Amino acid sequence: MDCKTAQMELTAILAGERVAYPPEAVESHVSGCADCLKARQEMEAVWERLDLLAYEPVPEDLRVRTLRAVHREAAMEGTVSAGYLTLRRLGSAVGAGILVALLYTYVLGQRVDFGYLSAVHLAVTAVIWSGLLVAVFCWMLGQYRQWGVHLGAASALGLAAMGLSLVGTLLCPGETFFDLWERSPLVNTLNGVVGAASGYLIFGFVYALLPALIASAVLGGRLKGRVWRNAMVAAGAFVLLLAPAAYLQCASLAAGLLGTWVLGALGGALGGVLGGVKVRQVWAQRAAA
Amino acid sequence: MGEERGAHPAGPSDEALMQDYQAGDLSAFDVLYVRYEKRVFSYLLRQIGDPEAAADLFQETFLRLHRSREDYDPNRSFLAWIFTIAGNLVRTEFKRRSSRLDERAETDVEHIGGGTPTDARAEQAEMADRIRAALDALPQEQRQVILLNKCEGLSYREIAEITRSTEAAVKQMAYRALLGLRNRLKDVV
Repeated sequence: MDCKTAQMELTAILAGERVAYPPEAVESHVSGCADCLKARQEMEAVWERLDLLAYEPVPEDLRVRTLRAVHREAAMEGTVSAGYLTLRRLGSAVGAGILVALLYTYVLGQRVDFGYLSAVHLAVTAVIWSGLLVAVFCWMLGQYRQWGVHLGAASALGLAAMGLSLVGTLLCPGETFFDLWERSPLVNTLNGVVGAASGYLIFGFVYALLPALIASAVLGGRLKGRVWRNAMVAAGAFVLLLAPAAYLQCASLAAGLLGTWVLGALGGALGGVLGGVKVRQVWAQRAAA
Repeated sequence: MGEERGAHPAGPSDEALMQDYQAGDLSAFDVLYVRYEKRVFSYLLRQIGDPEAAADLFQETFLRLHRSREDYDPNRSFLAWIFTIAGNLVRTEFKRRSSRLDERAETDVEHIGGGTPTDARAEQAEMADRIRAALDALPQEQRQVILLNKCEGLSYREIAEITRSTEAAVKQMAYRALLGLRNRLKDVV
């Protein structure tokens, strides 16, 4: 054992930590080494002197300011967590929900033809979609938290992922994807083994995975803590928001295929959110390092 | 660090108080605040040096504790958790104004602690000043390890979690910190 190792072990012993070497080995070195003996005396003296440091008193104005700030936030949360939004915020949520539904439908309509749907179908879909969006905006404006789930952050993430999926649809519409997909030898093999639904399952998975991944990597900072719960709520919000858009595009499909698509999308959304949060953590660790 | 260091306060544990707080009992926060205000403030002040910045970070620490209370895992030490929050704030602050703090880290310790002690208390106060100055002169990471380990009673493993480092790195850092303190306080030990 060299002197540096012995002195490092002495530091750990002073700190009450486990030591890498048997204490007898450390003692044996120290007792036979004048430098380490002196070092031990000095280290013990310094360690003891550190006890002279007293805690600094907190200035009274800082104490008052801090407690007031926390209590004020808690009081504001209390209003929100009671489950009510102010009338103004509720109005904003309704307005924003309807606006986003209209905007999304208009933009999607430029790329996808859903004129084959009856007016009733369209109206019901629009109402359901607007309702979902209003609910999401209510959560976001209320910043609700329940059972460790940041409902506002999770729904904001779902909304962002829905926006990204629209961008994806505009850049690479489903028909193009399916054209490529159906020409793939892997699909032919999968279709032979699992059936035609496999294509929809994987399509739904990828369709939801990428937007959820990107949105979580950017906005997933508030989903920490109970990650699985938060991820499930965010993924659920995303797929629920996506469902009406998917219905508008795929209403002609058999229910089984549409169901398979939704199942794939759920898996993809969950995987995307968890993956995005992980990517974010890795980025943060690298930045810290 | 006087009377409070490493003390286990009477009454419910910190972790139990946090659970009450998570369930909506704001008075549990008040108890935790009283238990930790001096420790957190002292840590921030010694890490940052600037009382005004330390005060801002102090308030932010408790606000973050409040905002992320539902993220707290009651199986984890509350002490480690609150110092993780404070440590993250310190790290961000250091990044923000690293050049200024580097200058501060180079502060000469000789200017502090002058004068002849007239009695034992004055001598002790002078010694405390010398130690504070020697601590201030350590690099920030080493100072952090000493403050958390010696003054707050956190283990190397807990400090490694807080500093996003390894236990071995913390051990090395503690050794270097103590070496630095020995060198700076050679004439009084």
